[in-house]
Amino acid sequence: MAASSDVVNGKIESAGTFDELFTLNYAALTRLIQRVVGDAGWAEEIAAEAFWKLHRHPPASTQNLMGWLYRTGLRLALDNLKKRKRRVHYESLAPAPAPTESPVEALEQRERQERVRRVLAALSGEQASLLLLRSEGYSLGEIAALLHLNPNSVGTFLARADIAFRKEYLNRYGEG
Amino acid sequence: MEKADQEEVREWVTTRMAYLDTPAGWRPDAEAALSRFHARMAADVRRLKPRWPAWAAAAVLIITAVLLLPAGRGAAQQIWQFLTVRRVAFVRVNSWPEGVPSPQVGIIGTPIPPIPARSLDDARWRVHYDPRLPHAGVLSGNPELYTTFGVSAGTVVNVADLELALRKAGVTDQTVPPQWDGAHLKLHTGAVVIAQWPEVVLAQSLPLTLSAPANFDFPAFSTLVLRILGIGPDQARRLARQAGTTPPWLAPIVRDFETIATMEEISLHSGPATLMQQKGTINLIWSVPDRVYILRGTLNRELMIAVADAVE
Repeated sequence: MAASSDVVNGKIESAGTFDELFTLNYAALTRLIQRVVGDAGWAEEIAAEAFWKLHRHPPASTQNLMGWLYRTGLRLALDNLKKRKRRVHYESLAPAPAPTESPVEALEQRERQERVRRVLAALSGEQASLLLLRSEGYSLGEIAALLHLNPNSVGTFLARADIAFRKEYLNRYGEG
Repeated sequence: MEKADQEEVREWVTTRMAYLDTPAGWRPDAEAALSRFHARMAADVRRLKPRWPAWAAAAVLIITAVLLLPAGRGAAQQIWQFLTVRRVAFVRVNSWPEGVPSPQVGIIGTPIPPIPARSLDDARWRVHYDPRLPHAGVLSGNPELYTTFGVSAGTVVNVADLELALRKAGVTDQTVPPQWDGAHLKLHTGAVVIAQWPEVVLAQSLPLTLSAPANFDFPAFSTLVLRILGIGPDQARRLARQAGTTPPWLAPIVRDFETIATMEEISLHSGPATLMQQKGTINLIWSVPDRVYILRGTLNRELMIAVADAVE
């Protein structure tokens, strides 16, 4: 599990200094963003940008800075995903297929990923974030803390996000 | 929707979301990223070059004024003790004896220049203490705020150099304990908050921390350094002992320090302070139990004191 118990508590006071906060959260945030953009280098760039925003323009409250950081990182990633030019850019940067994959398999896998990303880009930022965090293995409590949602409602929101995702996907691609 | 349907939809979505799983074994390098981040911070602040001298003056003044020790060589693997320096006191002394390696304190690491802060809350979050400013009405307008990371400086005690310095200074009644050789002495400031008005800059830090090997005798060392710098034995011992259980660290200012035109001890509402004037600029340095302040500016003496007294 990537998130610490501090997330569940909605606090990060124990994270101490900014450097500590960076070290504790950078890898997890970058992995999450990589799901959205599909490119490691670009994900690192966006994660660093989220930390930069936190450093230069921190929120008024120091409660749940991790949540602020993750929401900012996901918003940056999803905004980028919605920009077609950038999408073309990252598609060209997508990692080379693994040696075990045939070119056809690699192409199919890339197409499957692109479909999911296009659907995510069509959802609201909150719904896309819910699905991304769950797929990265975060618990309902952690998702609620990170997205600043009522823990009692996050299950309902996720169910709605599932429905919205499937509807959008089927409209675009059918059962494929 | 029925629960079974809900489960089915979740499974369906989960299967597709799994297409985005990150490559197995890939782990972003947080350490390298943090280094790049620090470099970006440094580059960003270089754009604010006019602000750097104010911070540099404050930080260098804190560090070099508070610790003036002989440079040395060697190293010692020892258990460290940490003392909180709650009072900074200044005393005029002679120059370090000629022909002996000059007293130098090296800044440890590369200090990162100041970073702008939007507000006091912003600064507070970064430094983990409440920055204090002069109360309203003393200075016009809101200050530009900056924070820095802490700064450390240090030296290594060299017994041979100390013995030579004692001889050169004509001190014959002092000896240097051989076990001091190679002792690392380091002084650390906390994160500094800098508030800048057009004519005044106020820098503040939590009390300084001094680290040294366990059982290192600070009063004896302070006494010895002060004797080398021309202070009589009784005064040296008194200065080294003063403040009882919270050891003061003395900041020797050489008597012929040519850039300081005048230096005087003054009384602020919060206690004693040292006021130094040089070429139209006044530096006012004082400390309270939980803070060390440097006020630097071009206002006249009375106004500078009024500003210092208004810090709350």
